[in-house]
Amino acid sequence: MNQLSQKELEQIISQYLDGELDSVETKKLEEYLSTHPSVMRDVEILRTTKQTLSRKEKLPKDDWFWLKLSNKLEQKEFHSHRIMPGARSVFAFSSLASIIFVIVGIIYFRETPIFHKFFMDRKNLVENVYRNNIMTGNILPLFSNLSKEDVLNFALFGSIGIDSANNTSLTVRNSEDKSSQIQIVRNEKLPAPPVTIHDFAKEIGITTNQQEMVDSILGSYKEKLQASVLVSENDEVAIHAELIDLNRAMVSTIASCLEPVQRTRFQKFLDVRKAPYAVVAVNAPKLEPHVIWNNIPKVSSSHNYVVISHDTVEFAEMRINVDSIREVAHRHEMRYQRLITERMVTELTERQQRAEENLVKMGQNRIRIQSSSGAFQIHFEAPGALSNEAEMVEMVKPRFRIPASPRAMVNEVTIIGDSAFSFEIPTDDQTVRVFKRLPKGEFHFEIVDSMMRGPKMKLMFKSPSNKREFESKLRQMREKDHERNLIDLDSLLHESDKQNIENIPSKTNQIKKEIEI
Amino acid sequence: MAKPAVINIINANIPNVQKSDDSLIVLFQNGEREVFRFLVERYQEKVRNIVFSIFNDPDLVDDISQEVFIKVFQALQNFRFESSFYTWIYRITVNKCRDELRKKKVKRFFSFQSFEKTTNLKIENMATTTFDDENMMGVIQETMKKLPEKFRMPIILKDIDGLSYDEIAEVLDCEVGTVKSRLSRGRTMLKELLMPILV
Repeated sequence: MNQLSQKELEQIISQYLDGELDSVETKKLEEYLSTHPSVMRDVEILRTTKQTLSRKEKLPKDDWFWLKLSNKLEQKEFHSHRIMPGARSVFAFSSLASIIFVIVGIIYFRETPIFHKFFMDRKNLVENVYRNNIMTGNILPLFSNLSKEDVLNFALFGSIGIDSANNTSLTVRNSEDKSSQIQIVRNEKLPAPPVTIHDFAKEIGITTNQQEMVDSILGSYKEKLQASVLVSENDEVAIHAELIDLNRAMVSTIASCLEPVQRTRFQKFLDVRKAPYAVVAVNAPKLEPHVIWNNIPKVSSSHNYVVISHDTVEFAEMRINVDSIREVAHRHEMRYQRLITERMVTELTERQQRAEENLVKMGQNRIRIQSSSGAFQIHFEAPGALSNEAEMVEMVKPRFRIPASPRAMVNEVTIIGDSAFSFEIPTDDQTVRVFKRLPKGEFHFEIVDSMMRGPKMKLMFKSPSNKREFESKLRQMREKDHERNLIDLDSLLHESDKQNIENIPSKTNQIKKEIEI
Repeated sequence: MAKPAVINIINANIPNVQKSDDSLIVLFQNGEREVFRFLVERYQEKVRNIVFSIFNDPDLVDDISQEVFIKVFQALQNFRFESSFYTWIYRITVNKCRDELRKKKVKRFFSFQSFEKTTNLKIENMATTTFDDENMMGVIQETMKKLPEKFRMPIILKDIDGLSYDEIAEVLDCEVGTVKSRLSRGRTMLKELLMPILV
C-alpha cells in the first residue's frame, strides 16, 4: 500500500467506500489506515459525505404528473401534425402578414379609445385572474362521469352524491322566498331512493318521442352540471353561481315537454317522493321541441364562480374552456375522479371542522359561506341575479322554504348582575334581520365599532321580570354549540315568533287541490 | 439484447400495469400508444428525483421531467433493446440535465452576477457556522455545485441514486474504469472543498 501513488490510493479509498474491494484488499487498506491517521481522517470525511448524500430526501409523489405530461404531449403532437414540412413556407408567410397587419392596426388605432379600452379590459381581466391567483394548476370537473340517471335524480331532488363511500353529497335548495343554498354534507343519506329513467317514464306514461326528448334534455344539462363544480390540482373548489338554478331549470324543462295529464302525474310523482319542487303550470300547453330546445340554457365559457381555496373565498369571473376540461376529465376518468373526490372530501371535511363564516360581495349580490357542525353551505342572498340565464322556463316553483337559521360566532357572554347578559356578534344583513324579529323590550342593541375587530353588534338581553326565562336563555346561549362558540340566532326568538315564519308549503296544498279536482 | 417479439403474445392475459418494461415497449411499438402511461407511472418518481438530485431545485423538476418523457415518447419507437429501459431512461434524463446545466451556464456567463462569486460567498458564510445533520446536506450540496459536471454526475448517480459502476458507465456512456477514476477524483475534490468547513 505504501508503494501506491496518491492518485491510486484515492481510487482504492473510493472503491473501499463503495464496498467494491474484496476482503484481502479491504484488510490491507484498513491496516494501512490504522497507521496513517491523516488518511483515516480523510476517509471519515468522505464516508460522512457519502452517507449524508445517500440520505437525501425524496420528492413527494406527484399524482398529477401523468395528467400534466399527457397535456404537453398532446400539444406537441398537435403542433407536429399541424405544421407539416410543406406548409411551413405558407405558415411563415402568413405569420409575417399577421405581424404586419397587427403593427399597421396598432398604428392606425393607437388613438382610438374603443380599441384602447378593449385591450385594457382584456389586460385587466387577465391581470385580475393572476393577481388574485384564482385557481392554480390543472382544473377538472368534480362530476366527470355522470350517468343520465344521476342527472335525472339531481333534477328531481337537487342532490348528487360526491362520494358514495362516505355519503357525501351536494344539495341545491331553492326556497319559496327566492333565496338559494348549496350545501355539502357528509354522512347524510340522499333524500330519496334513486329513480331510474325507466321508472320515471313508466309512472308518467311518456311516449317514445317524449322519452327521446327527455334523454336529450338530460344529456344537455349533464354538460352544464359537469361545468358547474370544478376542482383544481391545488384543491381549490369553484362552484358556478348558476348551479342554484340548474335543477329547477331541468324539472321545468322536463315538465314543459309533457301533456297536461302527464304533468298531473308528474306532480304526483314529485309529491310522493317529497321532491323540493311542485309543478305550477299543470294545464299549460305542451311546448314544441324547438321551443324547449331554445329554452335550455347553453354552456357558456364566461361565468361567475364562487372560488373556495384553503384560506380565501372569493367571487370571480373565470373564462374556462369547458369542452377542453371535460375532454381531459373523460380521458382520465376513473383515476382522477377518485383522486379529486378524495381531495374534495378531505378539504370540505377540514372546513366543516373549522367553524367559520365568509361573506362575499359582488355588486349588489351577497353570498354567505358557512362551515360548521358537519355542513358546508353557500347561501345566495340575491337569487337569480347571479345567473346569466334569463330565459328560465317557469313550470315549477320551490315548495319549501329554507329554514332561516343564521348562526353567529359569539366570543364572550358578559353577565350583568342577575338579570341581564350581553354578547357581540358580527354585523351584517342577516343578523340585523333576526334582530328586527327579536322580542321588543327584552333586547337592547347597539353597534360597536372596534378598531381591531371591525363593526360588531352588541346585544343585551334584559329580563328583570322573569328570572326563569333569563336563566333558560342564558343556558341556551351557553349550550348551543358551546365548543365553537356558535349560536343559532333563531334560538333567541320566542316560540310564537318562530311560528310566524315557519315553512308553509302553500304551493303544494294548492296543487294537491288541483290534482283532486 | 434482442427485441422480444413474442412478449405480447405470452403476456396477453397479464394486465398492462403488471407487464414488464419490454412487453410494454413492444406494445407501444405495435401502435398501442396508451401503454406509455404505464411506463411513465413506473418511472416518473425515479426521473423526478434524479432531476432533483442534480439541480436541487424543486421548481425545475416538473418541466425537465416532462421534457425527458416527451423525448422518451418520441424515441421509444426506435428503442432497440440494446440496454435496459431503466438505464436508457436514466441516460436521457442525465443528458437532458446536462443540456439544462449548459444553458444555465451560458445564462450565467451573460448575466452580471457571477455564479462563482455567489457560491464562494455562500460557502464562506457556512464556514462561520456550526453543522448538525440537518444542515450538513445543504453544505455538501452547495459545495457539490463547485465540482465540474463530469465529476459531479457520477457522485450523484452513485451516492444519491445508488447505481452500480456498470450502470453509471452505461448511463454516462463511458468505461467502468473512467467511472471509478471520476468518482475518486470528484470525491477528493469535494473533500478538499469541505475540509476547511467541516474540520
